[in-house]
Parts: sequence; C-alpha cells; structure tokens
Amino acid sequence: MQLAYYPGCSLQQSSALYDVQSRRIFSELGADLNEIEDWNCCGATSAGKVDDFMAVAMPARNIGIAEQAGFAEMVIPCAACYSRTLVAQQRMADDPALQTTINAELGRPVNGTLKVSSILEALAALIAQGALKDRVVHKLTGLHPVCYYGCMMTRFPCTVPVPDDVENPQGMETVLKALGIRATDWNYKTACCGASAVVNDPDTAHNLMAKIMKDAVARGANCFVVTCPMCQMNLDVQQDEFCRRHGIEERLPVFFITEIIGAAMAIAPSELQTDRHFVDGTTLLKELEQHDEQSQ
Amino acid sequence: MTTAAIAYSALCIAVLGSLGRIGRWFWIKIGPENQEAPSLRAAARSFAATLKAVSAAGLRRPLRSLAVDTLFQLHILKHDWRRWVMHMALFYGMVLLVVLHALDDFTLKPLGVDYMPTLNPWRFLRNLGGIMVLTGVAMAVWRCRADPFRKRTRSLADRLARTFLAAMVVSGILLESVQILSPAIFDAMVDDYAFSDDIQEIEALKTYWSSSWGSGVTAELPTDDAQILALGQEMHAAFCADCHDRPQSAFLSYPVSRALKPLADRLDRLGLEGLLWYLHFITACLGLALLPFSKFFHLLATPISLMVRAGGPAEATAPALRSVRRAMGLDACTHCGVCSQHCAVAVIYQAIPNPAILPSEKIGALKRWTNDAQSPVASQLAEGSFICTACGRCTQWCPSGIDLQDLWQASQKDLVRRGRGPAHHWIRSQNAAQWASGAGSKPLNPAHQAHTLGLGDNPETFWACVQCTTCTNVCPVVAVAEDPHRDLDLTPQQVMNLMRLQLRELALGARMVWDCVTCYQCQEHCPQGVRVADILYELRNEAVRRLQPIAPRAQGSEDAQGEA
Repeated sequence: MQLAYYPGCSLQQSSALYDVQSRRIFSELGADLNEIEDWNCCGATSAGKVDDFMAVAMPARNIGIAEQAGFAEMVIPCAACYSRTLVAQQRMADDPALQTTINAELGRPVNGTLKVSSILEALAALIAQGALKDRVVHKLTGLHPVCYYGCMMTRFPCTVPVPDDVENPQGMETVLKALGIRATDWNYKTACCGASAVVNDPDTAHNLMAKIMKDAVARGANCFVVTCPMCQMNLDVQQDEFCRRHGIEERLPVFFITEIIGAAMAIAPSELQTDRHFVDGTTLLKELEQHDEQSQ
Repeated sequence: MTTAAIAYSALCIAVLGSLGRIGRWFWIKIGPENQEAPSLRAAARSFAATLKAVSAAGLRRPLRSLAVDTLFQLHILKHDWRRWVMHMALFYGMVLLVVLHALDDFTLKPLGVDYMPTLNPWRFLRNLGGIMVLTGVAMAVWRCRADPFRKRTRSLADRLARTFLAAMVVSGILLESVQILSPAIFDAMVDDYAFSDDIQEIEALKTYWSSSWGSGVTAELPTDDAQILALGQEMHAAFCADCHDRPQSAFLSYPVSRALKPLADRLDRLGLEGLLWYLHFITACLGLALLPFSKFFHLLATPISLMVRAGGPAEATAPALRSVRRAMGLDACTHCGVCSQHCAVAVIYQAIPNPAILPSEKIGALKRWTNDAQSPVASQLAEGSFICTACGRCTQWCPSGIDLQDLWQASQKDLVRRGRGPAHHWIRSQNAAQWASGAGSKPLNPAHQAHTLGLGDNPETFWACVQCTTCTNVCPVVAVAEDPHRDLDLTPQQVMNLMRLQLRELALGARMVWDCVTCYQCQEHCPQGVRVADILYELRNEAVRRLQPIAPRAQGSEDAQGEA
C-alpha cells in the first residue's frame, strides 16, 4: 500500500525519532510511507500564525504536491501539521473562491481529492485490514498506559471530518486493544500540555502538565502514550522540572504510539531510538518483555 | 618594476585582509556562551582555546575533510552533480591558471622544466583553464537565472565575483590572440632572435609564419611557393621552434585571432597588446587584492570551516570554540542559495517580502547585524529569524558544511538579549492598560494589514455572546492562574465583552490574550458558537502590528524567559 507521507519540521529535527518510528512501523505493517518531495512547513508556527492566507496556502501547497504525485491518502504523524492541513483543506472546500486564488499561485494546484489522515486513522485502517495478524510477539502485560491526545487531535478551529470522538477519543485505545493492551481510563486525555507556553510562559505550562501528570499517576498508569510530537516533547523534556516544582515523585516515560507497536512486535527499542527520550522508557519495556518471556 | 610593486601590493592586501578577517572569527561573539566585551585578550584566549580544541580533535578527520570536501568536493556531488561540475570547473580552472600561468615564475621555472608560455602543454593547459572557468561562470549565471529564488536574491557580491573571473579570462584570451596575430611582435622577435641579415631568409620566415603560424604579418612573397615555404620552415626550425608550438593548440585564442586577422595592423597601431596586458594584469591583481573582501574569501574560509566542523557537531565542542565556528560559518557562506531551495518556510517569502526569511539571505543580514548592532537590518533579521521552524534542512544541505541550525539558534538568543525578541518578550514590558493608552493613538496601518479572518471587525462574531462565562470556566490558563485578574488582566469572557463593545484596544496587551495556549477549549465549549480562540489569535496578530512600533526597544537586557 502506497501512502503519501508528510513529516513536517518537527519530525525532521527535534522529534526525528518519530519519523524513524513511523516509517519503520508502517513498513512492518505493509504500507510504504512516501515522503512528498519539496514539502514546506505547514504554517503552524511560522507564517500561518500571522497571516491567514498563508495559513491555508502553505498546507495547500503540500496537498497539491501529494495529489499531483498521484496519491489518494497522505499520512501526517505530527498533530499540528495534521490539524493545519486538515483545516486548510476544509476551508478550501468551504470557500471555492479561496481555493481558486491559492491554486493560481501554486505550481501543483489542489483539486480536493486527497484524504488527509492522522497517524491513528492510518494505523487503525491497516489494523482493520489485519496487518497486525500474527505480528504481536510481546503481550506487554503490566503496561498501564494512559492515552494522551492533547488539543490538536481533538479540537479544530472549524468543523472538519475527524473520524474520532472529540470529547472522548478512542483512536489510541483501539490500536492498543489490537495489541492486547488495555489503556487506563483517565480524565486528561484531551487536556492541554501548554504547547509553546513552555517558552513564553513556563509557569503556566508546568502547571498544566503537573495536573496531567498527577491524574495519570493517581490512576496507576506507568506510561503515557501520545501521537503529538509537541505533547511528547513537553511531557518528556520538562517532566523533571514540573514534577520537582509540583512535588511529584513519580516519573513516567512518554511513548509515541509507534514505540508501543514496535515493542509489541519485538522490534528493539534502540532501532526505534526509544533510548533518546529524556525520561527513560527502555527499562520499563525490557522488564515487560522479560516478564512476558518468563510467563510463557 | 612597477608591475612587481603592484603585484606585491595586491598580495600584501590579500594576506593582511585575510588575516584581519580570520582574526575577526576570534573577536566577534555569536551566541549565549560568552558575553564578555570584545578585547584583544578575549580574542587571544578564544584563539588559544580553538587551537587546543583543534589539536585535541587530531588531524585525521580534518585532513580527510580537506581531501574529500575541498579537493574532490564530494559533498556537493552528493547533492547536485550539475553544481559540482560548475564548481569543479571554476575551482580547477582557476587552480590551473594560477599555478601554471600566474605563478609560473615560482612554480614551473624553479623546477627546471622546459617552460615557455608559447610551448605545449602550457599553452594548451592555459586555454583549458580558461574554458573551464568560462564554462563555470556561464553555468553559474544560467543557474542563477533559471532558479526563481536565486534570481530574486542574487547579490552584487555574486555578480562581482563572476564578472572578475570572466574579465580575467576574457582579457587573457584577447591578449593571447593579439600576441599570436601582432606583426609588431613578430618583427621584434625576428630582430632579437633570428640571426640572419639575409632579407630573402627573413621574408621567407615571414611568409611561413603568415601562412602556417597564424601571424598577422604581411608577407611580401607568394604564400604558395613551396621553395619559399621550405626556406621559411628551415629558418623557423633554426630560430623559432625551440620556443614556439603551433598556435592552434591555443584553442580559445587562436580562433579569436583568426577573427581579428584583417585588423592586425590596426590593432598594433592602437597599441592594443599593451593595453590588454595591463587590463589582464590589473584585473588579476585586483582579484587577488579583493580576495578577503569578496566572495572569493570562501576559498580560505570554507575549507577551514569544513575541517573544523569535521571535528564534531557544535554541541559537542568546547563553548569557547562555538562562537568561533559560527563566525567562520558566516564567512564560509558562498551565497549559493541551496539552503533556501530546501528551506521549509521559504514559501513565506512570496507573501512577506522579507529576504531574511530565506536562510541564504538571513546569513547575510546576520553578518551585517554582527558588524553593526544598530543596523536597520536588525528588524528584518528578527522577523526572519523567528519565522524559522528549526527543521534543520538548511544545515543538512549546506555545501559549505555550515552548521546553520546552530547559527540560527545562537543568533535568536542574541536577538532576544538585545531586545529584538518575538512579541511575547516585549509585550510583557507593560500591562494591558498601559498598552491601551498608547494603542489608541496608533491606528492600524492599512499597509500592515495582512490577511486576517476579520473576526474583530465583524459585529456578528460576538452577536451571540451572552457572557455566560463558559469560555472562562473551561480555560486551562485561567484554571492554573492563582489570581486571574492579576495574572491575566482579563478573562476570556471579559475579552469577548470588550470586543462586543468595540473596545478592543483595551484587550490588545492583556496577558490573557498573550498567555492563551490555543487549546480551543473555549471555542469548543461555547454554547453560542463564538470563535473565542480564533479571536484571541487574531488579537495577538493585531497587537503585533499595532503595538510593535510603540514597543520600548531594548527592554530588560537579560530576558530569562528567552533562554528557556
């Protein structure tokens, strides 16, 4: 199965491990992620935030590139890129005049046929087709993850066609269930991690993350599972700091969903660069694997 | 004598200028590591630290870089073979010309080889060097025109460099073709070297040279008389052949001399040979003198930068060396534009015509700002710098191996420290009321009105707001504030109320607007469908445009948040 793939800036640099994981896991599940050529920033943190035309035109350019390359579906693992691209597509669909104006500027115009998928949507589709059949090696019994979706996978500036429930999303739970893992129920799955407030208002961001952390700990979770690289980075990199400031003893690794799938399929954590996290997650995965082997 | 003086002066300027520019690497400070004022002592320390770090890294990797990156330039070939062909043609063309021609007194003659500029292979190699450089220049010009980014961003420095190279080679070709042709030179050479008083013999030589050696000298005797030609050839073998190979081997100059042949005598009368010689000599000397002050400086800076970078990534090097590496990087840039072709935010340049959005231009702006902190380029640089999303593609592609990502991160911190940070830094210098008192007198300049959703200008946006406070109640930022009134100035529903009353100046500087994390909880939960989060977003953009001109510059020298 051939899918267009938009990594975006985060997966290029600060969350490069998510790029490695996404490519690997999709290929293991029988789908090829084809990075679209000459893509540009989705606009989420650059011009899209100051110029509303660019907010639509920048993702539109990427959509056009994917469509003209003949793809029917494009996977976007980064939640911000996914949200911006989906919203841009919707706004062009709602406003044909805007689409015409933007197309006039594009070398590869948008015709509106591309399906923009979040990583969860694409994974769920593959799993529904049986891609995981006989592939689960480790049951990872004892993994008690809380699925953390954050804002950008669930709330959008306008009505867009998302396949999940925005108040109680189930995408990650569904994927985990297919691996035989039961996610821990909790209250903060769509709360905000503070996003870029980590830079301009760290007190607020740390406050927000401490609340998220406290609920996860109180529910007995032993890790977070996320799909948004911004949430992952904030909860992982800042964890020591906000836990210290808010008197939280525990530390929980923050896994991408791709890492959990990889661990279940017995792909070595180092191959997925799990060892690059700030809060160690490899020890937990190793313990669970050993536990699995002993119980067999 | 004068010519030697000119040549040595040019060499002195080149050497001293280069030393000066290299010295600057240790003088200027880029990045947060070291903030002491520039001084000779600091420069000496940073030089010593660099030497120490470089010697600790060992010679293997730098030497490998010299071979792979400088001699074969494989890093360019890896990305773009056409660029590699262009650059290799320019580089090795110039190497040929400099070693075998410009410096022949120092390279070939001391070696005792059978050297004479009019003998082969030297004559052929000179023309080969010439055509390589001309091909390289032509490819450079063509590439620049064919690429929309480079077309818009090519600079005077690029054109100057190309013009110089082309002028040097073209004047050389013209000079050689006039020399092949010149009857006056022929006569002078005959006077000096043809030891014969026999008019018949001299005339035969003239005829032979005119018919077979391309000279423009007028033959008095018939050129188809085999006997005369045989005598001419005999004379040639006796007096000329030791120093002259057939001029056809000058495959560039010879055809030019054929085209000029009808003008041979007139060119001599104009003294063109002398003029061209000086033109060629002066352009070459000027090129040498300009080396440290032009694009040509990358000849030194780029290999050095590549070798130093081969020692390891920026974050793994000693803090003292980081600033030096960044300064080297500024000089190693050849303004080739590859970074901008791969920049993830380059498309924004089409909407916001600030060249400093493009990495290839941002580095130039940074260079100017480093030289002069008061330079008007500062605001351009600041805007461009904070549009960057740190995707790192520029660094990945840079053929000069500059760690651009590290350079941008360091210069962003410098910008913040000197009061040029993004809006969330300067907005905190006043509270909402203080901003409001100034904002009222500064209406939005229509020229600054970018594309917006226009929510604030449309009364229907707030029509439905019933002040139910749902937005405030679901706001996580309000929830974590100890005292929302003190910490945030206004709550979301109060901002919406000000919007309803068309008092939005009062909201522009409100902390609520600036601390909003755009989680869209308010908008999602609003029972009346008010686009609360989008309105806060729009307010921030309006605030940047309206308040930035009245923002106090250079507030708080050390902004702790900027370092976060």
